[in-house]
Amino acid sequence: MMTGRHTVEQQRHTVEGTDPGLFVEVHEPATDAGLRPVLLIHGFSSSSKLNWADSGWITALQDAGRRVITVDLPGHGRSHSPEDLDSYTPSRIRADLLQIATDAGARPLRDGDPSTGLDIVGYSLGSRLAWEFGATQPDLVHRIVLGGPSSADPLAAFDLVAAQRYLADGTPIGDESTAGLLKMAQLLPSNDLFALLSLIEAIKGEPFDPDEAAPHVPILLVAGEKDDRAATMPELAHLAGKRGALVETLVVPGRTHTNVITSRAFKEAAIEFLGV
Amino acid sequence: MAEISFPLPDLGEGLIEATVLDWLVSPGQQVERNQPIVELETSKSALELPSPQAGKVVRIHGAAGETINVGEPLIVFEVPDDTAGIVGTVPKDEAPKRRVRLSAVLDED
Amino acid sequence: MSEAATALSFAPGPVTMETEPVLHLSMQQALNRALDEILADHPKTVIFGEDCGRLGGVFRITDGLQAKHGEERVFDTPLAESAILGMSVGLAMAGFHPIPEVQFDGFAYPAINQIVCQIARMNYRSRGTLPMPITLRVPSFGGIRAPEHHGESLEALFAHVPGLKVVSPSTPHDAYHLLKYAATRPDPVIFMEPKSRYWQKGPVVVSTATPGQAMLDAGMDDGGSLTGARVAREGRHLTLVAWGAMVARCLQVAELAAEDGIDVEVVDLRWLKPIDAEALARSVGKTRRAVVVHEAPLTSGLGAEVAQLITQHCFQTLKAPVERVTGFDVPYPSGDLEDEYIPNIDRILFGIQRVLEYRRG
Repeated sequence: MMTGRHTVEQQRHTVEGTDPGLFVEVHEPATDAGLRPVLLIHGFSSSSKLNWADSGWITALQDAGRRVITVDLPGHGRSHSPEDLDSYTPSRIRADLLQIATDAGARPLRDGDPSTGLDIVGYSLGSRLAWEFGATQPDLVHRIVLGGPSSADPLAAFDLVAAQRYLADGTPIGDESTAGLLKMAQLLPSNDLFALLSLIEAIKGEPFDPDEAAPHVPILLVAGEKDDRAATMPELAHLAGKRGALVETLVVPGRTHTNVITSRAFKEAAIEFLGV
Repeated sequence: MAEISFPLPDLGEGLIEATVLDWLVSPGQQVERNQPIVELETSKSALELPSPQAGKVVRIHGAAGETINVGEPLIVFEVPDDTAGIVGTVPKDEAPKRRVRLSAVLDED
Repeated sequence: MSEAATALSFAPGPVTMETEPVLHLSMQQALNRALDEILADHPKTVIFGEDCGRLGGVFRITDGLQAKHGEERVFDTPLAESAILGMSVGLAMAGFHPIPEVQFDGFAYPAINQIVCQIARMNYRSRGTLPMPITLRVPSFGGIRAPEHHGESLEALFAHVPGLKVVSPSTPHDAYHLLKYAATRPDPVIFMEPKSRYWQKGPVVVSTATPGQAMLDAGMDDGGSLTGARVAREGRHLTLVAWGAMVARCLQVAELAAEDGIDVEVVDLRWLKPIDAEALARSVGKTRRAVVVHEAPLTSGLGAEVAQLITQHCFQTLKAPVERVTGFDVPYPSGDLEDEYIPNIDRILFGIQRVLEYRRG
C-alpha cells in the first residue's frame, strides 16, 4: 500500500547556490506512530525504487507507522546527472541530504519528543554517507542502521583509468573489484554511466575514513553472512564504540551483499531498532 | 472455489529468470492483495514480490535457491467463485425493496 | 419433466447419457464452459482480447482456456480495440471463426470503424464470398460500480448497423446456449454479456447437441427457441419487455405487482437484432399493455423500436401507449450514482401504474 506518497518538489531549495536536482519522495504511513521520519539512502548503481521500494522496505516501514523519505543519489534513478564533478562529492551530497531532510519536516532532536530528529537507513554506499551524516549532524540524527557497510570504500579503489580504457576500446580490466563494479553499473540500462563514473571520481577525491568522524548515536550494523564486507563490521563497531556509541550487529545467514536487502530479518531488526 | 495460478511476472530490464531467496507465505495461508509473498533475486537486484491478489495460497513453486523463468508458475491461489474482475464490485443479491404501490381497476373488456 | 427424464430416475444401474446433465453454474462459468466446448468442437475457432490469454480475462470468462487449448487459439492482444477487430476481419477472411473480446463495452468505441465499416458489410461488399463468422463478446451494461467507459449500453448503436446481429442473454443457461449458437453462425454477432449478472447461478442444461434440442430432450421448455424471445414469466394484465440484466429486475417487479393483484408477463427479448416481433405480438396481444425497460438512455434507444413493433402489431387492442422506463439522457454516471440511473423497481412500478391508469378520450 503506497499511502500518501508525494514528492517534495514544491519545497525545493538550492544548496550552496545550485539545485542538485535530486528526486525526493515522502511516503506517509496509513497510521502515523508519531515517531521521527526515516531517511533511506540507497547504494551505488541502485535507486530508491530498486533498493527500497521493490525490496519491500518502504511498505514495511509504513506498516510500522513510519514516515519515509527517499532520495535518488545524483546520476541515479530519477535524479539529474549534473555535469560538474562537485555535485557528486560525498560532502556535497551530505549537504543536499540535510536540506532534503529539513524540507521534508525533520527537526533537531528535543528531549522527550519522539517526533523530533531523524532516523537513517543506509545501504552499501548509502551506509558510508549515513555514517558521515550521523557523525556530522549529531543534533539531528537519532539512530542509524547500516546495511552492507564497509570500513574501506571499494569505490575509492576503483581503477578509473582502466574503466575508461575498457569503455573506449574494450581493453580488459585487470582489477577484479573495478571490473565487478563496472559490470554492476552497466547492468541497468537506465544508469547514466558518465554520472556514475563522475561519482566514483568524486569519491576518490574524498575517500571514506570512518575514523575521521564517527557517529556517537546508536548504530545497527547488518550484513549478509556471505558478504565479504561483513568482515569489517567489528572495526566499524569498535570505532563508534570507542566514542561511546551503542552498537549492535546482525549477520543474516545465507545472504550476500546483493540479496540481504530483502531479508525479513534485516527489516524487522531495523524497524525494532529504530522504533524507540 | 476456483484456483488462479500466477506465473513469475516480467521483472523488467530484460530479466528472464529469478532465484527464490525465501518464501514469505506458505500453502494454506490467507494473503491480502499487495502483501509480500516471496523474496527473489535477479542478476541485477533482490526484490520482494507483492501478491497480485487476495486469496488462500494453494501451492508455491520453487524452493529457496531454485531458479524460475519468467512465465513459469510461481504461486496458485484459491479464490471464491464470485470474486469480481479487476474493475468493479460484485453486486449484492438483495431482497427487492419498493415504495410504489399499484392501484388499478382492471376492466376485462 | 418429460417422460424420458421421469423414466430415468427409476432406471436401475448407471444413468445413460441420453439426457443431458443439468448443472448449477454462474453465467461466468456457463460462458467459460461454452467457449471451452466451442474450441474443442470447432478447430477454426480462435479467442483473443486484452488479458484473455494468460490471465483468463478480467471476468475470468476465458479462465484456463489458454492452458487447455494452447497459445495459438487463445491469446492476449495489445490494448488496441481497433486492432483486435481489424485482426478479426483478417482471420475471418482466412477462414477462421474469431471470438474476440472487447474487455468493457466502453472500449468498443475505438473499434467502431472496424465493426461498422468492415465486419458488418464485408459479406455484402464481397457478394457473399467473404462472410464474417465473428462473435464479438462485449461485457455490457452497468451495475458493478465501475469507472467511466466500463458500463455502457451500446445495443441501439449496434442494432442500427445493417449486417450485424445483436444478442444479450439474461440467464446462465441462455448465455451458454446463445454463445454456442452465435459462435457457429456465418454472420457477425455482437454478444452483449450483462456483467452485473456474471456471478448469479442458475440451472444450465449442458449439451453437445444442437442448441435448443437439448432442452427439449431434457424436458425443459425454455419458453421459446434460442433464436427468438423467451417468456420469462407468464401474466395476464401487462407485458414487461427487457433484456440482459433488466430481465431479473423485471421478474422482481412482477412478483411485487402480483401483491397488488396485477399479473405481469415478462418477455426476455434475447435477440436485439433481429427482434422477435411475433413474440411481442403474442404477448401484448394477450395482455394489451406493455412497458419496455432498458438501461440505455431514452432517446433513440431500443425501447422506441420495441414500442413501434408492439404498436404496429397490437394497435387495435392496446389499452394504452407503450411506456418506456430507461436510463436518462446523460453520460453513464459514476458508480455512486448508478442506482439513480439504472431503472429501479419503483421507476418500473411507476411505469406500470401510468399504463394501468391510462384512459382513452
